[in-house]
Amino acid sequence: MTSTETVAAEVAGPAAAGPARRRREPRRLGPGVVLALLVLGLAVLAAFAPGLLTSHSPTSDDVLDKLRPPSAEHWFGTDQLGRDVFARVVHGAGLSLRAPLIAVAIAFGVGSTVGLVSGFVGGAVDAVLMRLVDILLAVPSLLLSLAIVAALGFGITNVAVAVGIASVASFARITRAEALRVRASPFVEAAVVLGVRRPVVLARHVLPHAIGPALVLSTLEFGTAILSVSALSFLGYGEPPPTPEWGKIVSEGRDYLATAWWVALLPSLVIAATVLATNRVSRWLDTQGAGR
Amino acid sequence: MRPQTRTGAARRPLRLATAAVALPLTLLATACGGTEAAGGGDAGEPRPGGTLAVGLNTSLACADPHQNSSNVTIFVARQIADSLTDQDPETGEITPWLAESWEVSESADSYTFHLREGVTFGDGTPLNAEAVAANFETIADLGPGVTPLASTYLDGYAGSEVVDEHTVTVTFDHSNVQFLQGTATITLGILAPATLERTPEERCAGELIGAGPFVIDGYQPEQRITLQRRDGYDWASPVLEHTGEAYVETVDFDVVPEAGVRAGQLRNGELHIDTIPLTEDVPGFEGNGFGVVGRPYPGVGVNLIPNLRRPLAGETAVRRAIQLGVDREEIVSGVLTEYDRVAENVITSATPFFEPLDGIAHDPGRAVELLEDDGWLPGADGVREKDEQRLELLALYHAGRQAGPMMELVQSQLREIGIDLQIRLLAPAELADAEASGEWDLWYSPFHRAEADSARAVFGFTGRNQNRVEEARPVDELLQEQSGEADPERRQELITEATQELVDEAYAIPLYELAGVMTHREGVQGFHFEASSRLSLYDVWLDE
Amino acid sequence: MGKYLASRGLQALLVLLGTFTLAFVLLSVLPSDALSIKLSGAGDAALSPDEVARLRAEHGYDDPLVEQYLRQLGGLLGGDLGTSLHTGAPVLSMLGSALPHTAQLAGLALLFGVVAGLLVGSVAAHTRGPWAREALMSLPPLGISFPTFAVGLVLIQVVAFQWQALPSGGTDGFRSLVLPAITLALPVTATVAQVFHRSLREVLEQGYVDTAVAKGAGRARIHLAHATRNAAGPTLTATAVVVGNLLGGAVVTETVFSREGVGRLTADAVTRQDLPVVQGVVLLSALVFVVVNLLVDLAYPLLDRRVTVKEAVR
Repeated sequence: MTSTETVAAEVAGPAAAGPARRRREPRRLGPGVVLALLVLGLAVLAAFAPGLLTSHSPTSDDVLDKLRPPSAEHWFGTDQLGRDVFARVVHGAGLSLRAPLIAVAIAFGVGSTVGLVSGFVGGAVDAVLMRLVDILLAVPSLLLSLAIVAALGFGITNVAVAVGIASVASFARITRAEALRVRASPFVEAAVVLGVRRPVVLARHVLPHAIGPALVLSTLEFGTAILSVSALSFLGYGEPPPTPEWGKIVSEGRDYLATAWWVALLPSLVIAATVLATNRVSRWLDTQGAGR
Repeated sequence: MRPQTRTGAARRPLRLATAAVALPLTLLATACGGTEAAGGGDAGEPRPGGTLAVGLNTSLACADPHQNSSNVTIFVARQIADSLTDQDPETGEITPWLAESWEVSESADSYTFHLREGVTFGDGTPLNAEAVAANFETIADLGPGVTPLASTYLDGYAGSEVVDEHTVTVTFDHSNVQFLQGTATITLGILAPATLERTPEERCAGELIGAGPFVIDGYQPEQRITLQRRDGYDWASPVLEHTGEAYVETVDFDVVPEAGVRAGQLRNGELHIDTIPLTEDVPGFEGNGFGVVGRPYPGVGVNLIPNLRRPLAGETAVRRAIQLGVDREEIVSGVLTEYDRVAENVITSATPFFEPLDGIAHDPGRAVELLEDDGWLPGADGVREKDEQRLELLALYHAGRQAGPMMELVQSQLREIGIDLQIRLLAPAELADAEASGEWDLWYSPFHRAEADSARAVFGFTGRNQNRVEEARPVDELLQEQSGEADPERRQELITEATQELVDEAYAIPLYELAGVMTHREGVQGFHFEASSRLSLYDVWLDE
Repeated sequence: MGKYLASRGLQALLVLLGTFTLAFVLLSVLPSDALSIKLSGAGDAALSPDEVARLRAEHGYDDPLVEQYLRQLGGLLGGDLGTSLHTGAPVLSMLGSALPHTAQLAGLALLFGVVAGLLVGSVAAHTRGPWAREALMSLPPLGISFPTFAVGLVLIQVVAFQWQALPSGGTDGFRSLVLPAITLALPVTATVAQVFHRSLREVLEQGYVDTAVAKGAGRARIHLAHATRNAAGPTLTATAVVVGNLLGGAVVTETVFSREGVGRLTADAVTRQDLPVVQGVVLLSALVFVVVNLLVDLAYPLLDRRVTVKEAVR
């Protein structure tokens, strides 16, 4: 369906919108980008060395101290078991960021391979692969990942795989378009004429020149994947307790919204800030011509 | 364990001395009495009519009370099906209902019921001896695979004989003293013959007709179940407050999974009753135009039940360490309400034949000793290890009131003595399959029935055998013996001995006595629990 | 036109068939198969292996996959989507009773989203100050960065609990629809605003607007008559994709607001691994997708004069 094709690009956002929109901006870090990098830096720090950011344990509880509002001692307050919410958010960063990373890696790997092969080989292979991609696009990605999780079972790894598979299609489309462009370029044609074997042409010549937009898309998809993973975790398809995950922390806290809003809302803000920062950095990378 | 049949009476008043929080006097009445009408004082004469909206937390896996005994199923089924007998909430005495009278043989292996005349089912067919016999026959034919709990009530069932139009005799091939109380439960509720002819699946899907004061009008188990008041209903149990038809015209059971949303809906009037409020929300509904009804459940309280076939849960030292490692006071004061109590026995203090037992205490030091003597030494992450095996156990539970926070708390308490407890919440439909799979170490099991035989039903080799033992233990013989013992004094001895053994061997790890706690709007009048702390809507009327 | 429609229709059918096949393949790889879940609904007795084997055969789980596939496909053509493993109810009737609620929600969300998106997009495009424009257009990225559940929770906390202005959930009447619709509308607003703004800018920068100005047309008229009309095409297309995503968003929204509908049906079905229901929802979403795209393809030439579909000549 032609309309989907256009829209895939439109909705994917600035990174995918094509060279027409690419405006060169001075290589200066705006305050927004600095802030975004700072937020991402903190998130990465939390993922790798949570102990540096908080001295509280994410699992040890003190029920007599439950549902306390934010204070100097507990920055994000305490939850229904008296656990430090900030510590849970910090310690939850590892899983909550690793899963989207896996998801994007899967989407990138599978999607670009399909796109490259499809665009480079063409013909019947292209037709079949692109019809498959059409089907993937026909189901909203969140629904698709839900269906995959239903089939695979729960757990954060399965959630990551499901989210990854559900975003294969946009990578396939964007890479295919690039592969088509590159295939038509003189140096590829020359290589083919010179008798270089097709797989070699694909790997040596097409791949490096066609992968750029997919790389840029990855950074953007990372933000989307954080949202999808947290949604699935929120719906209860992630790890069992007490392992903290961002979506799950919010989900556990929402019962207490009327009496203790901080348990659900402060972690939500952290998710939003991380996604926003990712998108900002992605846009900045795009304008810097990264991946070109 | 899934069954949560609530039946029977609180023979003992709630004992305030041990309750963590003293109850305000106004609440005491509703907390203990059970039949006291809720609501704001003298609201005048009951007025019929109106729609009552009742909030449930999960969908119904199956509507048929013979097959399913989860909370929500009972809440709905109790309103549409009557039972042969009822149970007085004050005294625990079995009282007439669909059966006007009955005789029990000396050896408690034969029961003859004389049915009330003029009773009809929702489809207009008459209640007669044949219909009652068909109920028991159907349950027995389907067997424990389909009717797990009802089958244990019919333990040793030999057959039903139609003596005349309104007399039926049920016989057993050995004595079965708990059967009479069983006839008061909705689990043995009497369904119309036409319903019994349906397949079990069809009945699960809401094709259910009983002789109760309401009939099912709409059945969307994931969203809403609508009941309609039945015209001409005139055989209410004498235990209830009025006679004739029910007051409210329509009952909507709304499935609203979010506790916070249910609380909000109760506040703004979209719901009249929340059947499973959050602990943190309960105080906010005491007064100010709202009310709380709380009453301890009889039967087997909340216990963790070890699966003895599993290597770790099979080790006595590990089980005993868990017994000593859980801090029950912290659980009750931390995540439960003022209506819930620390466990003192496998069965709750609201159950006949209850006696407090020894050895249910929090002693982490002793727990650690037991584990170390058994060779379990702390590993790198603090979790104990022996022969390169981690002390990691899996506990399964379902969405009971406060079950989630409670299990997380137990998890953290056990972590402190070096046990890694994995917990997993099961959806209603997963429960049975998961239990049968045996792939768990500990099971969470409130089982509400005002009969001490509930201990046999849960732990006994002839019951559901939730310890999953391969052959009968000494304790199984005690449990079996009490179920045939007609002499109350002797039965008391047997029950205390058996339950003490369950605790000593840590076949059961009692945690707390769960109470039925519900919040409601002040305009809900005549709202009370039945003997069993189960929802009864027959006397409810709306003063709005 | 007829030929065009036929080819489009055929394409749509192929996508549907493909989705069905994909769902079948996907759900056949399930580790614990559907039958054990079905048995659990009826009780928990440890059935003897013989009984299980008999039931497996009875329900056709032992047949070759191809046979199962064809049987299901046959059922589908006859309007039979199978029955829920959890409740035993036909999937079609479950979807049928849930769909109106979700359709209302999605409809209102779409309305909110498109109106708000067009507003933000056009105001930003017509704002002369680059700084103000930048500020306006930084709203959409903000909108898509917030998790849907967080937006819903904030609305519940503020509007329902603090102000007590609207119900915090449930499925009763229009009032209960407003907060969930706003929640669901946010990503729509963001997308529509972004796409509309971008295409408006592009159109405004193109030559023929200048021509129109040179011909003496008023600035306001240009925007209305030319730019907006030409920018509407891409916006419509973007909206079409968003419509599909509404169904995904409804899963979270309906859960947060405890609303009845397809979304909650889906969340419950996934939790219980009720595969026939999951499959039904996936098919439904594909159906929505092809129908919406068909409509957009047909409407596109009417909106954007630069696009001509050869066959579209009546």
